[in-house]
Amino acid sequence: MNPAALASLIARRQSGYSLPAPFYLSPEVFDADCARIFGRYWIFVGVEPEISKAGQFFTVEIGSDSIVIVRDTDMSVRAFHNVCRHRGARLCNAGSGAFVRLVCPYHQWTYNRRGELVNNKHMGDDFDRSKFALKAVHVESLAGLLFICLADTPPEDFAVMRAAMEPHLAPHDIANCKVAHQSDLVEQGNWKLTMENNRECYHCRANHPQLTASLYEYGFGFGASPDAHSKVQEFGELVKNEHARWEAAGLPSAEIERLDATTGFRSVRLPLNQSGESQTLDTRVACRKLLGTFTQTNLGGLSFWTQPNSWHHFMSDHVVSFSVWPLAAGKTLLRTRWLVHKDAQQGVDFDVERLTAVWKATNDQDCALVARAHQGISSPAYLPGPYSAYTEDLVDTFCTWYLSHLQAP
Amino acid sequence: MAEPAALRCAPAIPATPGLRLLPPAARFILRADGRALGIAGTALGIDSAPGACRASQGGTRAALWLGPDEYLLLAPQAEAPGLASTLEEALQGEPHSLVDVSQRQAALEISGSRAADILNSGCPLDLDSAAFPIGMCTRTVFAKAEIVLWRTAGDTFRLEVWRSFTDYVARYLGEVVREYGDSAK
Repeated sequence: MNPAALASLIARRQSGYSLPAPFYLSPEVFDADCARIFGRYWIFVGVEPEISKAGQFFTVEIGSDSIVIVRDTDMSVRAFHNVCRHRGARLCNAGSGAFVRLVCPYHQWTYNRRGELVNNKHMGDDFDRSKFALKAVHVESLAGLLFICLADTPPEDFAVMRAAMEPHLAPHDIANCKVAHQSDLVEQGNWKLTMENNRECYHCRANHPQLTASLYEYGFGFGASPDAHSKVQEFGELVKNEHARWEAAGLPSAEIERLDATTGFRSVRLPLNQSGESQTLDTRVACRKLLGTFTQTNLGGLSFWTQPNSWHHFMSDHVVSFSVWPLAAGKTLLRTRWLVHKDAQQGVDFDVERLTAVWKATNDQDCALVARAHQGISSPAYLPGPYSAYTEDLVDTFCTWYLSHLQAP
Repeated sequence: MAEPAALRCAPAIPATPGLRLLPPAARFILRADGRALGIAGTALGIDSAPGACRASQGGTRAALWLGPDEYLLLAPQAEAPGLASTLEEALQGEPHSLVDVSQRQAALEISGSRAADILNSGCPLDLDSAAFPIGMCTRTVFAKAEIVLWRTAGDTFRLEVWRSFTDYVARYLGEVVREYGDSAK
């Protein structure tokens, strides 16, 4: 899509309203999303425990692009484009695994974990392999959360997010976690519908019976609407008291809201309902072995949202981490990882079914909602509709961030 | 024909967990049409003719399909002389070429849960058990060497390597195993 057409489409959006249909349906906008959003800003791709050992890797598909993220022999994390420097063949089809050398299936050009070309035949004695390393991608770890940036010069304000968030995340000690379970869900909808759905809890009460056993909807952008004035106030009191308790225990809990920043994010430690322990069916911890050096189980849930494609919940016993990758205009991959302490044993300290029950059910419900939204928007009858000023502020914030960063030169 | 002394020595390979040099073997390359290949297989006591890129076994003997007109036949070393005469007898009147390559190649075996990953450090094939199941074999490359690769069990592969490349392949595999070993720490 040419810049003028994109600009005129962006100008059509009415503030406080959902986006015009082409933003969800048009393959041209999708290409612009991949190039101008996923191609320029910091994107969450995974957690360090996915690649805890040297040589372990996973791949990330963004539109037609594919990125390999690998743990190097020196234990640093590297990322590069999954494209052979010979004639461009896709190097690696596996979603995850381990390698010492990556050998292109086409003509056996062979790369090491640093992406350096270390072997290729029939190119002559004068061939300079050093000129044909895999194209590197910027990668950063924020307390164990891995972000990549495909731009040559990544936004500098990642440092701001790091400085703000490290003290909040560090107590959960992601480096000493393991992935107890991971699931991939392909949603039949535009990636922005997946994100918009994540940025409000207006839909929670009606659709998420398992999640709302532990989750108060009020922490997710709820304002004091006339319908819920007293409940929101009551929740505010609870937050104040719990924050005092958690902060005294050395856990930074206060809300940080920087969703408008280029590396936009929001975080707050939220009380959980009933026992207040974890996002499980009975609200009790799902893993007996707690994270980090925690001794208390009722630490609520530290929620962390990043623009444009992730959210996470950190509890005393486990972490749930979500990433969203656009596959096509109407197709989105949601990857979910459940982390527990690396020494926790399945069947002894935790039961993986119990650990994953709430978010598996919630993801399935959200998947159906996203497909439903995409279906409706595909109708010629669709017109952008108004966001609730009380419950959907953060959806509007997401859309505003998206549009301004799509348009940014 | 007397063997040159050098060929009677097994090639030396560096000690590597999961990697071993298999005992010397009788090896023949048989080139013939499909009918004659079938006759040869029966004469050897192979259970059934191998399909494309598959190995068929009969007792201690094996026929590896390398092409529509080519088998690699393997048997214990002691059977080599008898095997040649058995085959020549069975193939009388059939156009064919039977070449004893017992000394041309040596066999390495790599086994363990990482075996496929280790091979993939030099071999570009998809070695997932769905794509390369037990019993599958093929001529392929490992780094700079041409090999015949045969998955003999879930976690075990046999590599037929030209003798002078054995040291190179074994050392390359040894390096990779060492690098994986480091990563387990």
